Order: sequence, then structure tokens, then C-alpha cells
Amino acid sequence: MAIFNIQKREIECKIVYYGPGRCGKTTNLEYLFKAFKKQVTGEMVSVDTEGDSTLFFDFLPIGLGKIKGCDVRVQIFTVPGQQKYSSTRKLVLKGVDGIVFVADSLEVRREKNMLSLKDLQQNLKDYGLNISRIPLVMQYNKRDLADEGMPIMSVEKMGRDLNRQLKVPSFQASAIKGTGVGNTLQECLKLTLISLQRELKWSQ
Amino acid sequence: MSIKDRVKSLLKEADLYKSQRLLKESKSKYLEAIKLIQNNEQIPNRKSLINAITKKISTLDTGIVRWDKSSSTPEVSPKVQDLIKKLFTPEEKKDNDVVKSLKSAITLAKFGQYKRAIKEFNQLIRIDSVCVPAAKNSLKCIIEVSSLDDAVTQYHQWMNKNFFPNDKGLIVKQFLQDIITKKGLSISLDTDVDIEDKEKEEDTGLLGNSFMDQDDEDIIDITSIGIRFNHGPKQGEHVELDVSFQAGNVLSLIVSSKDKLLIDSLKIGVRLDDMDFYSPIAIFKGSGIVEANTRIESGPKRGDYSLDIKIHSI
Repeated sequence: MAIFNIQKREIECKIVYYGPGRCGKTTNLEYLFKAFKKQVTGEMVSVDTEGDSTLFFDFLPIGLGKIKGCDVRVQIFTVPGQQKYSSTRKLVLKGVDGIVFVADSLEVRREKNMLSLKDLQQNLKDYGLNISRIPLVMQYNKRDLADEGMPIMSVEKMGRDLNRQLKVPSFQASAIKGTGVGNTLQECLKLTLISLQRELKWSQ
Repeated sequence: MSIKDRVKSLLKEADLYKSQRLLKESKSKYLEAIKLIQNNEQIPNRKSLINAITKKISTLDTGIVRWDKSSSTPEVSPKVQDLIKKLFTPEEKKDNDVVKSLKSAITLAKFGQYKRAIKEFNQLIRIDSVCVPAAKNSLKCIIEVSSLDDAVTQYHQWMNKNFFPNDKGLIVKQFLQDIITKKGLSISLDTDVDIEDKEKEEDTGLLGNSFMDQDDEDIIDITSIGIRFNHGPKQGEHVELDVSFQAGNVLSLIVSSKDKLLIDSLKIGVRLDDMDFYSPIAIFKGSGIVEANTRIESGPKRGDYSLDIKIHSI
């Protein structure tokens, strides 16, 4: 839930990167931290395990400057994708304003993608939110693995699996190389701010 | 693709999954490769190849076991704990410092940081206004991090030191007793003083009354509610409303006149079977009944509706 300080003309909103374990959510944030230094307003924090999996969350604060007379700040989080962290995942999702769903293009992760999307839908429902109404962007990550001869799914197949009903904007990406990372976040921010503007009725 | 190339491709795939820490997927590809090698006698150095792959699988197995056994909520550094408190503690303007401290300790507990949460709850136990939720949460954390026996020991230590004012100790006692009963155990929390008191009360016939008083006091503070409508014009929707006033188990709410559909859905006598009651401590599932639905005739909320919902079960 965004925080709107009318007197200070400040808005703080929350974007969450969701998706199955090892799909590249943290890698997205690491790239954003390196590539968008101007917008980053603090350190990136990663709480991970020995095995390098996200344990609780990653956190990256960014500032978008003034939009329609309001100073817009964004807190970007990732959730831990692994099955065993379901309760933490739900806690991190609480109060979300916009979501990037990172799907793994590897053929072997097809089922995990679908389970994770179902998990997102259920967790949102538990918070009284509807997956088809919340600002949501889909990212098909690890596209670069095709160059290494790895079996990855076609974008069409991933769209049929994950985006047939939702019909949200989707982007191909290689988070490790940075391809598509900025575009994904940009679109998610755009949808989130439009939604907040409508909800909070803020204007110049 | 020749058998040799097929094996090479499987091993390459397995190595890549391993590098991505997709351990189970990697193991599955190594096993496929072994099967292929076993079924094709023309592959040179079959035995040594299978041995090498088996070693790789063994390393993967160690990793898989370690991962499966690892805690989903290990204790993290105080710095990270502070960040968890800062980022995930819900704030409300009306909260005083004590309530803020209670909420942040609850956040720590939710993230499995039980040891520090216990310390913080125990600091709040001496404060009258929050001693009950602090004690209840502390006991829950002790059960998570240690055992029910240790929670019972902690309870007795508090009671022996007269930590709780008035009858608040009874609420804590009932809370712990409920947990014990749910686990099917028969541990009594009565202290020597309790037994003496009970005997006196039984003599004077007061035992029943004291438990009724406790029931009344045990209604927790509800800050907001969630209603999931299973029928009527709002069927399938989940609505959240702030509580403006609470008297015992009756919650008063204000609903804007703009939300006609909601007002119509909450007519007097309507039973709400799927409700969430949000308190500073936790979310409780339960049900309620609409007791009043009145249009406000004066003041700044004129035209809006005042609703009373009686908690039926929680």
C-alpha cells in the first residue's frame, strides 16, 4: 500500500519481484543497482543463504524525482522464490503496489513458473487483491541461454502458459546481461503510477 | 544426433543447471546421461565415465540434503533484524512508542527471529497496556524456538514474580492452557496459590463468575476487519473496513454513503461467516452479525452510515 504524505507531497510505493526460485529476481535488482545509480537512493540489501538463494528478501530503494508535483520514491523488493519460504514470501508481498513476475525460460522450470504464478494469485487473494487488477508485468528471463544451446521455451509458449488470461505487458530478458531489465521495471512503474494516480487522485 | 553427442549435450545441460543451483534438475540430467551410457556399449571408457558422473551426483545429493535440512527462517544479524523491523512493521499515526515496540517485536517473530523477539516482548511485559499480548507472543516464540515445557517454566516464573496486574495473568494462563490442550497434553498451570484460591472460591461459589469475567476481558482490540461476501450483491468480494470504536465484542464502523452496494449488503441481522479480525497482534478468522445499520444525521460524517457488527466467533 503506497504511503502518500500530502503535506510533504511525497509518495512511497512498493514494487515486488515475484517468481520461482532461481529465476533471476535478485539478478534483476543487482543489474538495476549497477545501471541506475542516479535513481538509486540507498544501498541494495540482500538477505541470502549459503547457497546464494534469497532467504528473506532483497531490497533496493530508488527515487523517481518529481512527478505531477510529487516526490516519488519506490521500494523494490524480491521475494524468496523457493517453496519452503512461502510464509516469508507472503509477508514481503504485503502492501504491494506493482508486481514484476519473473519467469524462467528454461524448459525444465515450466511447471515451477506456473506454480509460482498460482501462488502469487492466492497470496494476493488472501490480501484482498485481484491478480487481474493489480499493476503486473511479466518478464521471460534467461533468454540468453538459447545461445548456449540450452532448451528454453518459446515466448509464445510462455505467454500461453502464464499470460493467456492476464494479458499483461511482457518482456524478454537476460538479467545477467541486463537485456530487458530496465524496460520491465519502467513498464511496471508506469502501470503502478497510473494506478496510484487514479487511486490517490493526486495531481499538480 | 549421435549417442556421443547426446551424452555430451546432457552433461552440458546438467553442468549448466548445477551452475544455476538447480540441483534436482541437474541430477536428473546426469542420471539420464548414465542411463544412455549404460545402454550403449560402443561408448569408450564407459566405466570411468559413469564413475565420474556418479561422483558429480553424489556432490549434488549432499547439496540437496543440506538445502532440504536448512531452516527456512534462520536467525540473521542484528543489522538485518533492524532492517526487517523498519521495512515490515505496519505503522499507524495513533501508535504510541509502546505499541510501536510491540508491533516491531511481532514483525521479528513473523520473520522467525524468535530469540530477539522474546527479549523485546519480555521488556514489554511489565507495561500494563501491552503485557498480555507481549506475554502471549513471548510464549509462542519460546514454543517455536525451544519447547512447550520451557514456555510453561517461563509462565511460572512470571506468576511467581507477580508480573501481571489484576486478572491479566489469568488471560495468559488460559492462552497457554489452550495451547497445551490443543496438543493433547495434560499439564496443569495451577500454582500452589491458584489451588488455594480455587478451594476458597469453591467454598464461596465464585469460581464460575471469575471465568465469565475473564471471557469478557479476553476480547482483543480489533483495529480493522475484512469481510468476504459469500452471497448477496457483493458476492465474491473481500472488503476491508477500519473499526472506529469497540465496546466489548461489538465493533462500530463508518461506511461511506457512496458505497451503496456495501451498505445494502450489511443489513441488520446479516450473518458474516467469513471475517478477518485484524488486531495489533495477529489476524483472527471468525464470524459476526450486523446489529445496527444507521444513517448518520449530523456532524462531519453526515450522510454516511454507522454500522455495528457483533463478533460471533473468533
